[in-house]
Amino acid sequence: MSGTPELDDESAPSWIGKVRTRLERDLPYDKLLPETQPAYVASWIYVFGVGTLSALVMIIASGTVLAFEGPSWYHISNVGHFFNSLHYWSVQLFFLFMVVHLLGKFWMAAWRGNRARTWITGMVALIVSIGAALTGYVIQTNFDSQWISFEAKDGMNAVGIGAWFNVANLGQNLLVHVFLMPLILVVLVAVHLVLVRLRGVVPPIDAAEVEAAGGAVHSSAPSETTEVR
Amino acid sequence: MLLWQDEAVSTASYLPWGWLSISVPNLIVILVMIALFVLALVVPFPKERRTPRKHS
Repeated sequence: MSGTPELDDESAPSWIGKVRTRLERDLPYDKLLPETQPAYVASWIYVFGVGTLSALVMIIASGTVLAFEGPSWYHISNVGHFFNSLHYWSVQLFFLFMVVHLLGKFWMAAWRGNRARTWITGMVALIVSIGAALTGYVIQTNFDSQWISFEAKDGMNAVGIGAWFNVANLGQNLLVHVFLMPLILVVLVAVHLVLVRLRGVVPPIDAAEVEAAGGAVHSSAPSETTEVR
Repeated sequence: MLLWQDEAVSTASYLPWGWLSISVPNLIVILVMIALFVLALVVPFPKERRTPRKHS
């Protein structure tokens, strides 16, 4: 896509200006928030990415309530049990949707079409999510978390990071779980989503010729687009 | 110990299969994920409802 003369990178005097002109050129609003998608997106296999994202929103919302109320609430009261379960089952759905999303993208080789960074940020997000899940399991303050943390401690020692990352240290794991991991994950997911918008939703392998012909995300042909509702 | 507490801390059943040993809950989750993946490929997506757009 060729930029207009006033959006030329060289004309920007500072790095902020360079970033702005680059974003204006590569991510205009109609590309960032498109109303239409290619026809091939109308398939259930394309639903699991947004399913994962929805589960993450529920995880953060329920986790925020748990953080404010604390274990003396969520271990004892009925409402606390509800939010504790909501957090737990949102995590189960998050991983379930994410694995199906991963299977779908792996088998359609979703790194095609200059989408390697989209694929890599997704994979790193999966690894960070596993770390978030582990630290979540060990901060439950119940028998389950005691068992898991002392099993995991052996694992951490076996790979040589036990002295630095001690899963039996409740304070360390609490902070990692409620601050560090969500921060990294949200940034990764944000970058992942922007890259999806930047490169477009990956087409099925047999639709490669459509993409090569420029008929992917922003095609205006009615036969190749469907309304997003 | 109360019955529900006893159940809450009891371990899951494991299925030994040679060198592989997997708990029943984990096996169920893996099978559900595979089933969802297959269903997502074969179940038809709902058709688009074409509603006329209102232009103000």
